[in-house]
Amino acid sequence: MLLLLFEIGSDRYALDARQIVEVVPLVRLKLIPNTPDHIAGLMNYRGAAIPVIDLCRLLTAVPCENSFSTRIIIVKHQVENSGEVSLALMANNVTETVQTSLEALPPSGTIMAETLYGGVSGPDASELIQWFDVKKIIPEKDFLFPAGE
Amino acid sequence: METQDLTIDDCWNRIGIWSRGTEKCPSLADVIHCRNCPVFAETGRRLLRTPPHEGYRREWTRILADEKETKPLNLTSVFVFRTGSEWLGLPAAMIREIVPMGPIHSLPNISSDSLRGLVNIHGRLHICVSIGSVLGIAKRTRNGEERDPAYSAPARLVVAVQENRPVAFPVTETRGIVHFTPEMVKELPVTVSGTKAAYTTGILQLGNLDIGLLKDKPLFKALTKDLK
Repeated sequence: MLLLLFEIGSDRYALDARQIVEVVPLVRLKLIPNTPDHIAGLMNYRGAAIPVIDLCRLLTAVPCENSFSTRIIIVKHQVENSGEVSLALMANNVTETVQTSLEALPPSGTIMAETLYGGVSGPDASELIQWFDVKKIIPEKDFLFPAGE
Repeated sequence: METQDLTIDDCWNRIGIWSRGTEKCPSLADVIHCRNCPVFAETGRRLLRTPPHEGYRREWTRILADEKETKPLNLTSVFVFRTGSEWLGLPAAMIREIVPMGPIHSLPNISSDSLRGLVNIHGRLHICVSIGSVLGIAKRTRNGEERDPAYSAPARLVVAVQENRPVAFPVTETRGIVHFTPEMVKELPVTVSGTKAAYTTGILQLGNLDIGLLKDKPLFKALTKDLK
């Protein structure tokens, strides 16, 4: 299974590459008034306006860095009653993918799955990487947003 | 951008693999090349941490607002080779390997034009057939004098697998794998008939080469019909 690695705060997270549509650079966002802080704004993605969720802001209350490696991950997500929606997730250091021997997702625990991958290749092989579960981490109301309120 | 510390010690140019001087980095003994060195990787990461300039954001905003440019997706790949004077293509998925030509051990008591004999490939015996004889290309003459000189010394053996049955056949020249879209394939001229028409789906024009795209299933049926 191919995983995309990124950083939120000082920790690394991994997302299953199968649900990713595209990883794109930071673009200009249209701010939306009266939305939670973690909604960074709307982006024009291939002609459709989709909300961009700042994962750093959501999980650590610190906005993502303004840097080349801060990128937007476009994912497809299944939502009950409204089918598949596109979400744009902004995270730091979206620079690496890693191939694991895992075939399926490990069972997830409570709110944040305690699934930790004992590191990948490289000098910090002892690093623990946490499984990123879109459904568990993104607030439910954010899914409903693209369908139009 | 100005406030960011962008001073980079380009040690790879100074003492690394790209240095012209005689003084070399001691780490080179371990990492062999700067691209394996953590210092090099770390500098790359630091550059990625710098803020992008406004033009970069603007450009990408524009690119992403547009429809995605897509390449034709229904690409087909064929393995292209020459036998005699004809360039032919077989679906790339069925080609298992290409090996140098080895001796062909003929089988006694078998009178078949297409069946050449057995070849030893990695210690296993494979059936060796002649694609040219099935398609009627550059017929070999018994005395050998009228042979196409290029055909007399096939350089390689191609091992193809059809329904789990590997078959080897000699080819004069290989061109490798070629990708194409359905629009690039030309119909066969109506004047072509007989065996060639039966085994060819169309003609792929590639530069000045006309490649006959072979129907793999009927061809392999014909190649192996004498093996029962």
